[in-house]
Amino acid sequence: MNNFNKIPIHDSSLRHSTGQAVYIDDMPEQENLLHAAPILSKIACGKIININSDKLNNLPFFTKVITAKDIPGENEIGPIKNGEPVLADDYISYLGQPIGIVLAETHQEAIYATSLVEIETEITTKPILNLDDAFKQKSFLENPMILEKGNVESDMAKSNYKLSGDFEIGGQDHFYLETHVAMTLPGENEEYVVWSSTQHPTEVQHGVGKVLNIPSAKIDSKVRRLGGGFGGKESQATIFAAMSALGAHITLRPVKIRLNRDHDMTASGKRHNFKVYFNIGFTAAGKILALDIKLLSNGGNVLDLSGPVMTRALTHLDNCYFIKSLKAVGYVCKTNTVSNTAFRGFGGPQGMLTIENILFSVSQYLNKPVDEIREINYYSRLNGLKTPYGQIVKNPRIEKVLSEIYKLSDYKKRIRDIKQFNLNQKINNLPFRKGIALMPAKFGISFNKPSLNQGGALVHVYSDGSIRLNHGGTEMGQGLFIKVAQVVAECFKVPVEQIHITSTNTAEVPNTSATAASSGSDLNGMAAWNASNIIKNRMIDHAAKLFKKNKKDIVFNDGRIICGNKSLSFSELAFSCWESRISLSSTGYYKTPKIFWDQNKLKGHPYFYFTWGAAVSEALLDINTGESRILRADIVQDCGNSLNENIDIGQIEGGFIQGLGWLTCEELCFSQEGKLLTTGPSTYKLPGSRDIPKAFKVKLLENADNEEKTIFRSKAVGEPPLLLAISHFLALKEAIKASSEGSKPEMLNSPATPSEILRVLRY
Amino acid sequence: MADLKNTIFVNSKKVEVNNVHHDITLLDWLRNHHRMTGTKEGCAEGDCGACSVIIDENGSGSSRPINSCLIRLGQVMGRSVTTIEGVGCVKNPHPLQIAFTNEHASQCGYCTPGFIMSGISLLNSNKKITDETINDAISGNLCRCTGYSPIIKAIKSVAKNRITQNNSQSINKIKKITLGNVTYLKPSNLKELKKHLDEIKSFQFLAGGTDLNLQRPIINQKEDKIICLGSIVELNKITHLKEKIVLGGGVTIESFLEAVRLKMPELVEILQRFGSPQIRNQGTVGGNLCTSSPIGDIAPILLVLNSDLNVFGRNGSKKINIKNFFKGYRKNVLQKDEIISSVEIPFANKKNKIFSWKLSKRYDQDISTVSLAINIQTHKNIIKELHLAAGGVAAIPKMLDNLSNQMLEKKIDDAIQFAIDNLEQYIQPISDLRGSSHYRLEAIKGLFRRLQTCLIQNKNSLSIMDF
Repeated sequence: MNNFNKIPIHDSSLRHSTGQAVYIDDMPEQENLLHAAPILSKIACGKIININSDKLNNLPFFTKVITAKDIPGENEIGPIKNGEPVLADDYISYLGQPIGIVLAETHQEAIYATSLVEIETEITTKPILNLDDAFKQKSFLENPMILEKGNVESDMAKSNYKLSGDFEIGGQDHFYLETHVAMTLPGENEEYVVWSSTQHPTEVQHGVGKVLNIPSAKIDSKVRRLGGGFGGKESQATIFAAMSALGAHITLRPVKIRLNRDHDMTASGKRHNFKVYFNIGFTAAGKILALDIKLLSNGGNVLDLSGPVMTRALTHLDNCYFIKSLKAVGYVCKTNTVSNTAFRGFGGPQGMLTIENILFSVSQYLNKPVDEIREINYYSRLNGLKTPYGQIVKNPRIEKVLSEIYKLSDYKKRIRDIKQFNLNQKINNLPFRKGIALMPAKFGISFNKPSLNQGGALVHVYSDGSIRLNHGGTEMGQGLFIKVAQVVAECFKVPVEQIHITSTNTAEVPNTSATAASSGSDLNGMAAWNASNIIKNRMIDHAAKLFKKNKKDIVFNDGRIICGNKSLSFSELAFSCWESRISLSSTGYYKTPKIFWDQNKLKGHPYFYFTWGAAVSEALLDINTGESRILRADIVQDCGNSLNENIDIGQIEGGFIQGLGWLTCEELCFSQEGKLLTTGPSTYKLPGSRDIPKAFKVKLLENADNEEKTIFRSKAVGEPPLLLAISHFLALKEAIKASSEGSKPEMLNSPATPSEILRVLRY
Repeated sequence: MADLKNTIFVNSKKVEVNNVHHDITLLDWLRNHHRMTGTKEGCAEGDCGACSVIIDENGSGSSRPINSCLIRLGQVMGRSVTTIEGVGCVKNPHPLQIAFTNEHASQCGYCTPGFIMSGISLLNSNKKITDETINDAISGNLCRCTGYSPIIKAIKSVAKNRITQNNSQSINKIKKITLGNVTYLKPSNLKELKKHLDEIKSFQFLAGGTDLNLQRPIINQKEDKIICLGSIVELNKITHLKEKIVLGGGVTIESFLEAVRLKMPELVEILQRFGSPQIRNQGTVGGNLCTSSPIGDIAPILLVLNSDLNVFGRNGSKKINIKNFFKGYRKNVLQKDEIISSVEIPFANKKNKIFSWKLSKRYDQDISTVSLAINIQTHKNIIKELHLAAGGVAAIPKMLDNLSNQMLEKKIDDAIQFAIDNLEQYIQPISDLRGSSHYRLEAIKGLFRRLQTCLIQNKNSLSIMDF
């Protein structure tokens, strides 16, 4: 969407590049501010016998220790279920769990003081640290979730070809550049202003209220911007916001908590690692008849959002394929590791990698190209359009994205070129192999829980014609604020610079949903559109009176309000409205239509619409060392009628690279005691600038207006591109396949580190 | 905490240092004492680059990017520092800042100031602006949002209008500074160093500090002395001789890289992959050897080139061969009062081929899982001379003399096959977070296969980065 024929840039970009954008740790500090640091457990499970902080008394500076016993309200911040304490009370359930906080006058003093607090513990049981152990011991956080369609038993029996297997899918740290941070300012009459780096200010408000035993109305939860979120600050930001509020409540001083990187990585959740066991029945051509599958996810010590993450994994393991009979059981395993949480894609990537891995295995078994297997299994009128969870895929855009990606990537020619390359390498006794893979992706848009699909906005027009915009969404770099500002500017037909963007604040728009599930612009854009239109209609009424004409003769255009040959500037009309005592302020509200969901049966219509995409990746492998890289990537992504093409392309490129990290170099390592060993960028390697494809083409699907009535017929973009990185994982498998006769690429687990690749090559 | 009044030039302005803790980092001082919050903390371990600033190079007039989280204020006294605030502001932005905006090179924006500082450093240098030099310049900066493409484009887009500026006004003549309970001594030559060594019993050496400052004590009650080696002229010298190159122990890795770029091209890749520009500008040759990590970064290549180390201490100087330097996990032969004053790296025999390979999870800014350095001479496909050293396979960077002796006088193919078949007898690597023992063995075998191909097909490089 253009605003006055140009696509707006991110509203904060010049402040980003000059260092003038203010993050929470950059805000001015009140003179009596205290800094908090968490005291973390050193065992993975056991009882707390005693907390001894006597050593702090000898320090030459102020310290104060706060533990669960000091909590005035409930020690509880579970976003879905209870049983999730802010601070461990008498039982520790993972290594690194916060047991208390220390307050001091500087950040360094607070951190140092935590090392002097002695925690006496008793190890009661052996910690559960991996998925198979949890499964064997029936250690679950939820009842098994069963998604069933057709009759797997009979269709499996009827299948001429059967295959079974298992594989692992690694977790991923969010590694937002700004670690968790929160600052609480106490006011009179038990009022609190909580600034926190959160994707969910309302949940922070609720969590703080519960912990302090204070009603929501007394708590303003705010955030201007996050230094990255990616899901890691959806539910988990509340833990740290609650700690700062607790400190402020007890000391009646402002309290800030900013986690060091190693504390952040140790004590905050990550993408769920999965283990998958499958049996599949299929025809000689590779058509899937029956799929019987078991998904184990690592929920960690408490549930957090693991239930919905599993739901999305289950509802995305069909990807673009019609599966006649399916039985998929999701087990959310309880382990003694940090509670895993939302991460861009929210189970979708694990679900989609699952089916893509399985199709690859089928293609290996039948010795056919995997594209042929895909071809005959796509959702189509012929095969069927009903998903395993009951929703009909009304207008699949599979063919459309495929024909675009073939063109963009020159796929078929490159398959031949790569075959030749591999042959030459073999003949010349050289160690390099290439692989190329294509992958389509379908992603469902809406929170699976219908009640979360609502958004609110608050728009003020001032008598000077300037417009102040506030809504429930948070800005974490994804460009939501500029997109919503564009919507408001389009409504009033004024330049987007005239819209003043403000911090997310529960005092302005209450009862918001998390900025998550890619839904930010769908929900808040529509709410802001509604708020703006309410004001605009009042202005039209007034203009009609001024011009003594009908309402339909009033046109907003180019910053002016025109009626025949007369016109007023927007600010003149705004001033005139004020003089005539017309309200120029309105809230706006939106709820997503058409969706319903039965969480027990896992059936319904959970997604308002689907986004579609496709990618082709080319991988290069050194069979001597297991080193690999991506040489080229081509992407076509369906953004509907894009609200902002530049922002959307940024989401696609960045999401894809983040997906590459998940599948290749990002590896979480734990000690046998359950201690996370990769707690900083020196040991946890996310992609650097040389890890991106040398040739990288991204194209938005053309003429792709959303068939549903979304804001300007646009589509969500935040999460879907991340899943397209699976194409690189598949390309690596193709390269392994080309390494030698009898290679076993289907054994490849993620992440495909050099070590993992060499394991498969040397098997 | 009464301190001597000292100054640092920040963005060309004199700033007095008052009331600071002795081991405060430049980053914390900028952010907490002066609320210059454009410089960000992303990791506090020198691996993300969000805290990058530009600092003058110990009075030489040129300036380079470093990680402000890894340098103590005591090391910065009297020097001049440029932060993001000194580059430009919304009302008066630098062309690179405008380019970042035009190319959509920021999303969450938290890493952006660091990238701007790295980009400015490149633009201010005399390097050609290519994909290669840009990637190298930003190899110490992590971005989690954009996927880097727009950042690379933005830097490239201003290459045409480069403005070389240098506003370094270092005075750098401070010889003693007290911060809190700690006194930083900055001798300017070995004679002054000797005097300190004779007079002071308890002290700690500090070179670049990229390793030591990671482990800095947060709160230290007792009085302490730190001897900074950065200003000692002899330690910063690079001497090119006919048969060798002599690097002062205080020469930064980046200067090492520049010094050998033409004369010892086989060292370039391993040095280019050493940390990041920010780390290489601060870390020193002597410091890297003295940390004596089993990985050793530059150690394996110095081992196979048969380098000598000149040691300086209270009792004078001596020379030891690097093979006799490492004693155990992070242990070496130096006494508490001894430093490496210089490293003598002989040029290899012209008939020899030198290889130095590193394997890691990520190409740039990663610590090797294993590394292998090779100095080899063959004649008619027979191995005539061979020196092998490996990193990441034992408690120290290890010469594999027993193995190489077995490979001598054998045909290349047979010798390599011997190494592959018998490797387990010569190295017993451990499993850790960088890789399993199995992987380390298999990877070294893979590097032997690479060696085989390089020798037989006469190739200097066989890397996925060649594509």
